[in-house]
Amino acid sequence: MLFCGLIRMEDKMKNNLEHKTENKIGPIIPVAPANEFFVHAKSQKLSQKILLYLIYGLLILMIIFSLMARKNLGEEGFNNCVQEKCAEKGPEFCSKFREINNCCEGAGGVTAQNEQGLSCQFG
Amino acid sequence: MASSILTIILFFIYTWGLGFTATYWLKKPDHRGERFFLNVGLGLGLFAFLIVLLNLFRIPLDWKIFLALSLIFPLFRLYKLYTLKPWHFHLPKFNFKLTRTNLAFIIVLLIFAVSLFVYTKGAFSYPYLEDEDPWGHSTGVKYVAMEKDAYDPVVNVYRETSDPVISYIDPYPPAYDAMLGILHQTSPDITWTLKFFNALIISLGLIFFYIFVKRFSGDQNKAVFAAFILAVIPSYLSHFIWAMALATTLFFPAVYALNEIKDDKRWFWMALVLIAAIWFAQNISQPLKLIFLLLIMVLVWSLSLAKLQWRPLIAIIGGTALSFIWWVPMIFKRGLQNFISYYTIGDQAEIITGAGSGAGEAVGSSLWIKLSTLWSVISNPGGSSARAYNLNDFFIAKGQNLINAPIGIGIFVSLLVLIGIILVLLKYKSTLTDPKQAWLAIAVLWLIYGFWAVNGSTFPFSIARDSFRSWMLLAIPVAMMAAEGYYWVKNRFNSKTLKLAWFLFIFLGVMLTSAQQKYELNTAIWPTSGSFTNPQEPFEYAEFFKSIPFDTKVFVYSPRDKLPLGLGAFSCLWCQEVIDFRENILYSDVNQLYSFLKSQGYEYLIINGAMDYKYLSSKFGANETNELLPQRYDEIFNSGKFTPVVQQPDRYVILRVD
Repeated sequence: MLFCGLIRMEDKMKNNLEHKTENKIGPIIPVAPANEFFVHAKSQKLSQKILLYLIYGLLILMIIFSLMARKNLGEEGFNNCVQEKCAEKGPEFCSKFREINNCCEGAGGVTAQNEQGLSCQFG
Repeated sequence: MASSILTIILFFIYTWGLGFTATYWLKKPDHRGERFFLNVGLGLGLFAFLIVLLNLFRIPLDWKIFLALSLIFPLFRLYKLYTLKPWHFHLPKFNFKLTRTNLAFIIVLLIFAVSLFVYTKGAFSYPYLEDEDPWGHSTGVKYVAMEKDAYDPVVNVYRETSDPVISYIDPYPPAYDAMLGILHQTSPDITWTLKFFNALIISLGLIFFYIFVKRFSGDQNKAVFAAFILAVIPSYLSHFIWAMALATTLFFPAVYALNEIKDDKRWFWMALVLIAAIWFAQNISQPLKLIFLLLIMVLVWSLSLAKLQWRPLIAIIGGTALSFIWWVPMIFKRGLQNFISYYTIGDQAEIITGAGSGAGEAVGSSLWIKLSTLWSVISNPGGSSARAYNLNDFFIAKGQNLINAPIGIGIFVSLLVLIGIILVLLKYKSTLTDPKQAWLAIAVLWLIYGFWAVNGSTFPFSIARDSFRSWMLLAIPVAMMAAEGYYWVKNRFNSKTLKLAWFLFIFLGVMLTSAQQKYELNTAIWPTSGSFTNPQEPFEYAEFFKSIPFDTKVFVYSPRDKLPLGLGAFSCLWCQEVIDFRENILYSDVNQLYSFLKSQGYEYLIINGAMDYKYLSSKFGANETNELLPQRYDEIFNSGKFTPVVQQPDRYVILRVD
């Protein structure tokens, strides 16, 4: 009853507000018509250009970083990862299962146990 | 059962009432259902904010106070409406029509219901709390429920630490534990309360997300599809009980409020409070990332409109400043260096505060070193599960996953996102930065930020702390961009049959490559605390605790008070008497133990060979424990003061204190 009464009250409130502010509050205008592939640019302000270049720049950076990340893959990537952890936090830390497993999964391998201890296997 | 239902109703009254009160004069969605849930979302943030505010003024965190605060204005309005214009007062007519908006909302409610079902099904598929953090939360929840306070108790502890008793309040921001604690005051089963309301908060987030995307993009179809994607992406929040659920959920009402400031400056105060609430919901690293997402939004608005959007910017800065009503008492309580130590490792705190000595002092005095150390703290991608990621981690979602921060998106969703990005770059080109398309530019930048944050250990340098805990943030723009990609392709087709075929193809593909894996992970039986030394023990313990009344006092011989607390019983973790007794427990004979238990009202004692040895030997040393522990056990069994009620030979015994 309380909810119902108040929902109705909010409805009335909203209608009043809509009436008063209809010129101020508009819906966000939807994007370009569906059948139009390219949306043609009007003249751009400098700040808009900066934003556009920022987006392009960051996207290119992500692509470069992703390509560079290929070095993390495979046996070499695994060995580098373990060595970095050993150098950073010592041999006890880098010989933990969790750390070896993290390096192995990051290199795209599967952690396995053999006679020498933990190893990373690549399919 | 009745109290649980009552508490669910109370939860909606608190949140809806507070949201209604705070935004009564503001314009909200036309659709009644959307407006109701928006009030709930805004109220959830206010609830979190009020917890810290009332606590600051030492007002007890009592459910009755929150009920009064949430109802006082709605009742006043109702009274005014009834007394001034009684002829206007009647129940709203139920004139439901299956409009597109109603249908969209019904689908979103369905997504919410299925999500809640899956999360609760998984959470209740085992009788204990998972992993370690939820047990820690249970202690905070119980403390707030009983003491009605969100500051740590003043106790004398015997080890130097910045957080000696309860991990998830003080200095950890208390909103999550305190909110659940207030709910626990009317819902006596703590395990149920934690599991259900955690799942409810996460699932409600999907509705809030829908409302925000609809308003943001101006397209309800895209908003429904985005909500569906967010619900099925494995990396968007599992049912793991931790404060992340609240912080991430509060992000959506905060974005909504911030967005509304552009049209109506009165939303400023609401945005301010919601941003402070995000800071109160979880420890610094996650709110920091969420605030960064909000700053990106303001940056895009400002650049696309060629005018600094100072109101939203001040709301973000002001909301952050407002959160100091929590942080300043924490800093005063502990001192700046101890406070910073809580968040840093090694000598980072000394460098940042410049409190080092000798060589460290010289190093610490350099502003550049201080700033770079601060940055390394903020952007450290490390953490227990931090690792480099490869293409498969994104494209191939797995059912076997991390339970607290699952990873993976799934191949269909990933492809839709790629289509979305290519489309945005090709279709909109330079108009992407037009104010009309600002939401797309924001989504793209969020995607870049989320992708970079997740890849903190993959890329040459990191921009966010705890890379693996950034997956749920990446999921947000992923859902938005996937919706963009999906609708762009769909709109290429002229034939209805092709449109339907595209929908079915994507729907089935997403269900098979993302939803199924999310379901698998979230309905599996998750492991529990490492305190247990046998896989059967947590089930057996839960069985016993189910057989005794809630809040029965149960003393665990090892310092694991969180176990009885998390299983619905009680042990006063924060009481000085218990802390004192634990300090010398191994040197206390059976008479001292018995008189302590009786004086504190404990009804049961649990001794567990492996668990006791593990924790007591780390405190008293292996030799001392090897010598004294069997002696204490013999005394307990032969004293005649205890009666065994559950016995698992060679593992544990539960004794009644006679």
